[in-house]
Amino acid sequence: MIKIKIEFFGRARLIADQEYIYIDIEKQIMEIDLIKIIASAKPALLGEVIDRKTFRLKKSYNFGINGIKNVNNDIMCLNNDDSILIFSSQSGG
Amino acid sequence: MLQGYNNKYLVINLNDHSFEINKIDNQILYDYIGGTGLSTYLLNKYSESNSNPLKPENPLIFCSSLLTGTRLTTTSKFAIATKSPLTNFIGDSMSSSHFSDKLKKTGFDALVIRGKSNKKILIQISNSNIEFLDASNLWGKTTSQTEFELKNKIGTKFSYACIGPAGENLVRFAGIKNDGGRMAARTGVGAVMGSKNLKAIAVGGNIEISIYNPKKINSIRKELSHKSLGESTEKYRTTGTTINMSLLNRLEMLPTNNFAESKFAKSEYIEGENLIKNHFDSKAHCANCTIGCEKIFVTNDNKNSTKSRLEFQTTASLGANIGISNPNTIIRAAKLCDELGMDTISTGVTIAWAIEASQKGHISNNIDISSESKLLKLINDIAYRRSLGNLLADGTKLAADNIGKKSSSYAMNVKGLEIPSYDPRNLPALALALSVSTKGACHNRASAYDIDFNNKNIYEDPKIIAKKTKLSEDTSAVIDSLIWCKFLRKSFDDFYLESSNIYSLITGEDFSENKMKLAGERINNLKKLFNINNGWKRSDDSLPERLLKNSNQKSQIISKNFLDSMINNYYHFREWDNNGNIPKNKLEALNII
Ligand code: SF4
Repeated sequence: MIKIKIEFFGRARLIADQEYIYIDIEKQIMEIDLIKIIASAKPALLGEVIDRKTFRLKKSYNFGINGIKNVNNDIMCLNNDDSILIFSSQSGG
Repeated sequence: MLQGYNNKYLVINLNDHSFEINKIDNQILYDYIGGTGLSTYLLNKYSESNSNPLKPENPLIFCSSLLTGTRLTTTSKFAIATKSPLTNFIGDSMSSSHFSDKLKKTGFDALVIRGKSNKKILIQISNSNIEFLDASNLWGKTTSQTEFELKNKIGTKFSYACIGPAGENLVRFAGIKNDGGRMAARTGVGAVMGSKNLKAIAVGGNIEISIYNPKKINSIRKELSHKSLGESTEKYRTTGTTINMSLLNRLEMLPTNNFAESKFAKSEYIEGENLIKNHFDSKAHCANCTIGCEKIFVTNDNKNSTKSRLEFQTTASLGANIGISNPNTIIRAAKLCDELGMDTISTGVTIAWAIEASQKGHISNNIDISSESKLLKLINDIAYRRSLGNLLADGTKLAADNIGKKSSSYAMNVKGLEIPSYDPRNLPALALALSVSTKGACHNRASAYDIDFNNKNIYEDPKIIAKKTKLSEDTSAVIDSLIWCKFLRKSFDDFYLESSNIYSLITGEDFSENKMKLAGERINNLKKLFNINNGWKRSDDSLPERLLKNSNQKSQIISKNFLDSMINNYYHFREWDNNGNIPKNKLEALNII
């Protein structure tokens, strides 16, 4: 198991009412399983940031691993102390 | 005659308070659409090369567009074009308010203002009736005082665009306030208006535009309004853009202390999440907009209560970039800039330059903005050109040229326009777009940060970045010409297909996606041609030295070589020569000459 940080930005932070959480996960994990873990740690995100049915981030949100690098692999390979950033997919302003 | 347009524009000569009405050929409307495209066309038509932007010969052009008045969401926008007193190149600025709808209802698609009045005036235009009214009693008044008095004097059926003291005093980054809350802020369009002794423009009228297929447009309007409330606009609708700061700070992309750093230690106090929790007052919409990205914030200290509309760029330029972490101070500073009629981005970046110049001993003034009152005094001094404010009122480029001592190396502008608050060192597409943008450092003329934020692994390849940036610039030119708000862009399934269909349904003329894409390309080429005719050279397409050298970054990827490579590729995709000039055959192919 590894420990990673989930950081929330913008509306996701306001809904989670927290800037970040730590979670323990397997080093290799399916994206859907990771999101289920986040949802169980922060149920308020369900329906708002996380799609209730698909357990994917809603279209309005992006994942970034240790930065803005987007994730679109179903299987993610993470390291201890990695950060997953959840932020709005709408840039601009 | 094309349906959807008035097919004519008004040319006002302030030298003798005369006017003429000119027809617009259909071909011009096909080629340039409206908004930023048509205003660029008219600017080229009415400009003399190498003219002084603050002299009477510089025209000031206001332009509505095809979609204006159709009540399609976010389309109550207008474009302003002129030669910028900050850059000496094309100055274009957009704004969004009822002023746009009312301008179109006067019976004109565009308004070209030439010359200079020998007394302070305002122009009132209504249903093709033009009056020149004395404005000496309005001179010196703030933007909200001016509009208040105009509403009392002329009435609420009109919409108003006006300048504040900054425009009157020819502050080179003065904007034009319109319809209460909105400002065409960038490139100094307000200074050009002030140079003409023109305090305000009142527009009103009831000339309705015919639409070829109103029924279909009405159903598209409903559908688009519905889509505009979907997931692709969630951020804009819910939190607004002030939340950008927390992410950018985390990613070390938040310009701090005059771009010397990219992370602001005290950002948490002024991040959108904090503003929303502790300062949110209300939501605001531009005219005819279903999204409503604008958020009004209110101070919460025990001084006089102040409300101001804040966007990310304002909180960053008047916050992190000048070391301010008190949200109340930012709200008051933003409000003051609005009242004085001054661009918040250029104001903040110019103050940041002055602080550094003072610290380095390059100017003798000791700049102290440690208290709110001192910052507000400095902003006032700029607007009224008092003491040091007189130097700063010319913007970073001229101010640095003026004092020399290598202070240009930390004057954070491109072509003279101050850089907005996205640190381009880690955003390669944005770095390219800021460098080559015809108006200088504008984040909106290509929305290129979107390329950086939403694509994987493009960082290594300058070709891919250049191609995407060129396409994004062309799409932005179409968006700004039709006119849509950029925040609606992701609500379309296929932007060009849907937009060309709407064009055809309004005008009754077939307008293919390809014609529309070509129009975007044409508009950007014409903007570039304006610059070339006004002395543009290859070295103008660059970034300040600081952004190409700074070693503060964890992972700086923009080196001078990398930027040059992106620029060369960009010229290639534009089919320009290696020096960035447009070959004659390209201009002919685009029907520009
Ligand atoms: S989304 Fe925002 S900027 Fe765009 S038209 Fe609406 S309120 Fe104005």
